[in-house]
This record gives sequence, C-alpha cells and structure tokens, in this order.
Amino acid sequence: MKLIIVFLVLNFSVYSQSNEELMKKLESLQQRIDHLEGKKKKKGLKTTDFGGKSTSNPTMQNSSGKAPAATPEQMKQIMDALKKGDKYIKDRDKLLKELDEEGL
Amino acid sequence: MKKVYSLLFFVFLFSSLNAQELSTIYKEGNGHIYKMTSPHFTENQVSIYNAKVEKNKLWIEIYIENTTGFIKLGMWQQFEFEKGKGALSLNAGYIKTKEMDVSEKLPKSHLAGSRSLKMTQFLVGSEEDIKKYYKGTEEVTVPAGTVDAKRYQVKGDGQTIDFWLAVDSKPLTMVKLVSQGKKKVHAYTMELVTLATNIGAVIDPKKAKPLSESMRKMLEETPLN
Repeated sequence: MKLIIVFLVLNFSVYSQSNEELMKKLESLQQRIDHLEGKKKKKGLKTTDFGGKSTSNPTMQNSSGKAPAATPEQMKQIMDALKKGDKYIKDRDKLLKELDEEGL
Repeated sequence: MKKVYSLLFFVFLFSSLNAQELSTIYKEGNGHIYKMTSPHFTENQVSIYNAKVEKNKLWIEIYIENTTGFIKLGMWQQFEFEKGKGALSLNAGYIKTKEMDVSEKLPKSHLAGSRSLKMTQFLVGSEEDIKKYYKGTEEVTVPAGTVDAKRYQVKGDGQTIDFWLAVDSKPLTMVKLVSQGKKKVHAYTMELVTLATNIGAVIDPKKAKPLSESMRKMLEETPLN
C-alpha cells in the first residue's frame, strides 16, 4: 500500500512538472510567434505621393519659384572656388599641426 | 557634385521585359528616392522615376541634389529607352540644372560611363539576366523600411557593386547598393528613402537645345567615355 502511494505521488509530481514545462514551452512559443508576427507586420516600404510636383527641394528656389540665374560657367567658378577653399583649409590645418608639433 | 556626374549614368532600371509592353510594367510618375553617401563627396539625394511611358518606350528622369554642404546644387538628367528584341536600348539623353531655363541634349558620346560599370552590364535588363550574380536573400533595413531582398554582386574595371532587390517587387525595386573600388568615385552607398508616386517630370525633350559649349566643357572635365 505504501509503495502504491509513493508511486502515485511520484507519478503526480512528474506529471505536474512536465505539465508545467509544457506550459512554459507553450508560452515561450507563443511569445516567439508574437515576435515574428510583429516583425512581419513591420516589413514594407514607405511610399510618398508627390502630387505631380518635382522632387527638387523647394527651399533651394527663391520666392518667385524660379532658381536664381547662374550659368553653368558660373557654377564651374563656384566649384573652383570651393576647391580653393578646400586647399586653404588643408594648408591652414597643416600649419596649425606644424605649430602644434613645434610646441608654439 | 562633379564627381557624381558619372554616377548618374547608373540608371536603376530593372524589369521583367519578356514579351510585356513597357506601359504594363511602368507607371508614369512612379519612382524611387535614394540617399547617396560617400566618404569622398557630400551627401546627395537621388530621385529616379518614370518621366513618360509608352508601349515600347520609356523616359527615365534622374534628379540629384546635395543635401549637405554650403552650396546646394541640383541637376536633372533624362534618358529615352526603347524596347527592342532583347534589353532596352538607350536612344537619347538630356541634362538640365536649376539655373538653366531649358534642357540640353546630350551627345551620344556622353550616354555611357567608363569609369563605372556600364549600365547595360546589369542595370538594364530582366531579373533573368542578372540571375548569375545572385548571392542570397537577406533582410535589409533602409530608411524606407525593412524588406526581404535578394543580393547580387557584379564586378568589373576594378569596381565591385553589391545591390539588393526587394523580393516580389514589380517592377523590381532596388533597396540598397554598395559600390567599392580603387577610385574615389567608386566608393558610395545608396539606400532607398521612399518609394514615390506622381512625381512631375522637369525635362521636356521636345524643348531641348543642343549641348552648349559651357555644359560640354563641364561634362568633359569628368570624362564619361
């Protein structure tokens, strides 16, 4: 009789333990499904409707809606000026570095 | 900005051509807007969209403007493609800056780049044509969102380009492109910022003038051939 009771108690505890584990596993699987579904829902690409307008940034234009007059030649001059500006910055940095190294 | 000129000749035109008419694949005003970054030049926004669509002809317009830097510059280019027996053929090209009243027609010698992989190598054609470059499918996150995309890799002339096409997109949507190479102009990344609809075309090919001497000089400074 004692043996039967021990067996039943053991059996019940094993059952409840496995049941508990199953519930935990089920819960973790449910969480995984929710996570994957959430991830799936987030997938996709944004679309913007331009309503027939250009994609050009309007802040680049003046109030008349027309770009300021500058010929391609003037654009080239601007680019050259920028190049010179770059050179000036590089030379300045070089000089500052040299001064720094000399401890001045 | 000048360094970017040759990059403009990458027309991101993917299609499932086969026997289909272009007007069944492409919709006027639809396109893609990308953010282009490079360690060697300012950040740019590149818009690529269908300016006009006919049964067997397609006009693709590209607009590029720098989003960083002291001086803002913007430039449009438009290319006319025609469907032949196989891939699309490039018939004509036009250029316009914000400062120009009307666009100018590009000579044929300026329609293809040599400092970069030629677009006919992989950018104009069907998914079938680029199958051999397929490397795998990956989840890609760009400013426009997250999608599953097929990665392709092409190499040539010292340049390696990896690009990702969204799975099941029609027409095919390029979500990301990473270019690397020996030359500075080869180092850049493009990421999709948004898909776009109803974009108004700026260049009217019918009103285009022949290429001016000043524009020719500017283009020659960045040899495209």
